[in-house]
Amino acid sequence: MHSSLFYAFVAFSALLLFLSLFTLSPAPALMALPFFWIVLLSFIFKYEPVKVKREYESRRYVEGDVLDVKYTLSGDGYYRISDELFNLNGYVEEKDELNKKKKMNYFGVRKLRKMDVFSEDIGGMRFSEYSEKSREEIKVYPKIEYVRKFVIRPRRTRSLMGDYPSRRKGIGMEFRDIREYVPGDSMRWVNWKATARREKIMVNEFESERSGDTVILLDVRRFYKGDKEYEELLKYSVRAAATLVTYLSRTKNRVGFVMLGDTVDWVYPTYGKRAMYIILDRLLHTKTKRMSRLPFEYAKFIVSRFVPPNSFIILISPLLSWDIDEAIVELMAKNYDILVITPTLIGEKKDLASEILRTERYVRLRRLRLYATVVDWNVEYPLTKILMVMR
Amino acid sequence: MNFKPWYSRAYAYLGVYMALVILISGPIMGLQLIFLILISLLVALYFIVEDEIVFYMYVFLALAMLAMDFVVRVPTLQNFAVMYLLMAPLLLHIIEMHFGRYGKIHTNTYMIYMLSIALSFLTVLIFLFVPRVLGTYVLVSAVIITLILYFMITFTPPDENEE
Repeated sequence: MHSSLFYAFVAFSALLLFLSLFTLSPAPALMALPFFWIVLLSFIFKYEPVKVKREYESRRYVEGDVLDVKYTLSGDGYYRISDELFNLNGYVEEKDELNKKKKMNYFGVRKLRKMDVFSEDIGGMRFSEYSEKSREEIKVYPKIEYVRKFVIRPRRTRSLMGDYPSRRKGIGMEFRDIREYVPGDSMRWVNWKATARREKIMVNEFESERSGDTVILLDVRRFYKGDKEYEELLKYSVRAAATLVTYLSRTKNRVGFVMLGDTVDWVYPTYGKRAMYIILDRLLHTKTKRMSRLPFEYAKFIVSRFVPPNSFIILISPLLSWDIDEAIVELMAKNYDILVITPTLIGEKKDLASEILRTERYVRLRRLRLYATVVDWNVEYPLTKILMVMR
Repeated sequence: MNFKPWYSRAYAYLGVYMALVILISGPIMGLQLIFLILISLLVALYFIVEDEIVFYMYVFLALAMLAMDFVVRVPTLQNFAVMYLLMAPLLLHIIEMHFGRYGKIHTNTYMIYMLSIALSFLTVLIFLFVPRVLGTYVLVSAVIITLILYFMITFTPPDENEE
């Protein structure tokens, strides 16, 4: 196809010829000659529309990873490629390869729906363009911190063997008590020091470790527009959820997930890696930019309706709405154990606004601590450090 | 068309072109001033709307400005040479504006545009001035040489691996 420059040159030539006739002078007509030569020379030079093939090293990344994309170009001429990742331009002769890298700063799903390729010959007289549609997507998972051990002590556990220390005595790792030997006890449990002291055979008792259901309740509702820091805070909540899900999937417990953002999403408690992959995939679709009008009532309803009673609920929320406090009390009344992890950006600043916020938050957390375990997490520090202190 | 800031190289070429045209247009300065005002207005409009059509409009006005300058002059070889030389910065402006979006501009593009000026001058020389001296012999041989050159440039040898 001929480009707009070609038609412009033809129009220039025609208008100059007209000007020549009008003025009865050869000068304007002779000025059209360079355009004629440009068109002729451009058509002599080889031109082949540029074709592009796009390849990726991987489809899954973690925040902070570098995405490596290879563009293989073939053809002759200037090119301009634009897709969701890059805007590339330059000149290609026969074949060329472009390796582009991009750091994936935030988690989410990058859909690569379209790639537009525009190419033009050396003189700008001919062009070709095409658009390649695809259904490819790149998944960038939230950055996960490595948690070595995170002790959860639910009030009630299930009857199956697991990782949570239960109130029952039995075979386990954690020492609980000593008692007198009864026939049938294993010799391995005999506490020889206590036996020597009391002059009768004493045996150790251990905490029985049972499995339980843990549900991560993520609150990433946005209540006002703008503010990059505010969005960061919500992103930290998502990262914390990903960290805990990855840790809990390594244990022998079921993990469930409820998310309250601009919409409600939930996953029924499941075991192992399956749970991890399902929940991480759901976390990818978390959108923190849209405003939310959902009350916390929705999350409370889903938990009490679909999650088994006696489950351990880990609520990750920056506590930006006041309806959460009431819901926590109601969930406690329904036999759920609750741990609240609340990220904050207030920090240690000494200005008046920070002081007021800090005091208000302190009072609120103090009241919440009457019912549940509360972890106040300043996001400047890693979550693992805060959890270690909690232990 | 990609948008270029006023201090870019593309507008430097346009500035040089305008300055040179005004410098040599002593006899019809009044008409040139009208052109200058119109071109300036269109360039300002281009900065606002960034439309390709506006770009072509002011380029044509710039061309017409030069053409009107040479309408009043005696058609000598020297005058035509000056006219084509003055066109060079305008063509460079077109190159910068059109191909600037591809980043680095290929040497062949400059070559084609600059060669067109040389070839135009050669055409004028052969068709308008030389026949008065050497007649049609030069014309015929020039056409033959052009055809041979065209064949040599476009000829591609057959692929040996092709069966």
